[in-house]
Amino acid sequence: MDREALAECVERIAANADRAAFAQLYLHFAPRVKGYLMRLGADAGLAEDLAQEVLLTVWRKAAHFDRRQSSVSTWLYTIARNRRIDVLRRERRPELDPEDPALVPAAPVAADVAMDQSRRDASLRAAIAELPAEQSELLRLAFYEGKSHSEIAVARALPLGTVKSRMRLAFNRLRRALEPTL
Amino acid sequence: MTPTHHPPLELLLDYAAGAIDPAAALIVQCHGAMCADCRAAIATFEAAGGALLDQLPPAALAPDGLSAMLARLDREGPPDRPEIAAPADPVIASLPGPLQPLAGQTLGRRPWRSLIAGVRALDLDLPGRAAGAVQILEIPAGRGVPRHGHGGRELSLVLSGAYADAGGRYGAGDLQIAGPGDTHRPIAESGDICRVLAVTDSAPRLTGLLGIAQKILGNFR
Ligand SMILES: [Zn+2]
Repeated sequence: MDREALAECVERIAANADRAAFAQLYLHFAPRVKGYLMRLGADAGLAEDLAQEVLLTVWRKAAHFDRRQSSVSTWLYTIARNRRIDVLRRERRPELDPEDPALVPAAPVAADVAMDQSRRDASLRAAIAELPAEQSELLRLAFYEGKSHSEIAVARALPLGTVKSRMRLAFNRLRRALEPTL
Repeated sequence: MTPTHHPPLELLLDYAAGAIDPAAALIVQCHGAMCADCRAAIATFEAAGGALLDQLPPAALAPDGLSAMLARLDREGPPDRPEIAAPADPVIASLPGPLQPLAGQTLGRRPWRSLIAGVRALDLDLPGRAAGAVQILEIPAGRGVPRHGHGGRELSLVLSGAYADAGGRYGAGDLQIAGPGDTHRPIAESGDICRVLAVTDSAPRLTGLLGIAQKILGNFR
């Protein structure tokens, strides 16, 4: 499914509580979210359960999604990431979960800042693919293994300053890829 | 009114990657709500997270996954309505969006507590947080907290008003990170009442803005 089709699914959930649209999102994302959480150390059962919770949040909060601000993949990633912060790093007490703070609507982007999201996505993917190996590894350790910058320094026996400068170089490339074309 | 003291970029990456504890994540979210530059930087890292999520090989789901999911949906009811009522409490309404739900829920359970000389604190229950502390401190103009040191790392985000200490001036949206061994004596400026979201990492002895508050609370409990 392309990004426009995915965005339409979320919008159909928000507008009509559309279960068929939800099933499409589930089939696309649940296996990826499960894989993501298993990489971060959840066993298959917990990862499946959390992936369902993430998709359930998509259902409940569909009206908060704004395709001008992010892709569905990025939005879903942030929901999964927040569940990870809440659950995998500490004891599990779901009965006390507050509203997910990341789901409070953000200030809208100005219309002239909103840009062709498909082109932006492609440009970002290309930039990630073209990162120098050490910067690419840094991002993978952060996003796929959930390591903090200081944990990365320890794991790779690198000075903290080296990790920080690689991170900044990678960030500059990503930011450039996301800049509007004039 | 743009913040001048920002989280370091590596803290934004740690947040975007989820490699951060819930209290520090709350601080980063609140700073992001008050700072367009950091909000954009977080969004950049998160977009990379979204792209990397897409590239993951899909894991096999349980055979009954979809039916189990749809059964949960049945119990869940329809999606939430988009509108969010503005909080009735004016202090809660003045807080950055990411803090409002937690602060509002907390205030439903317990009141603000007076500490010293007009200083008030609201202890936030961040779910499941094992150690450390998260508080909103309210410091009237001209007041401060005694000189103190830090056992662990303390993150202080100014929500409104401003304070100054030897390290500089911190206004709305500014983040001060104090490490172990730092001592400081923040004084609130005149003008808007100074509210600070303060978080300490788990540490054997809690000091800092929060530590002071906790010691005082301990004495009066
Ligand atoms: Zn900032």
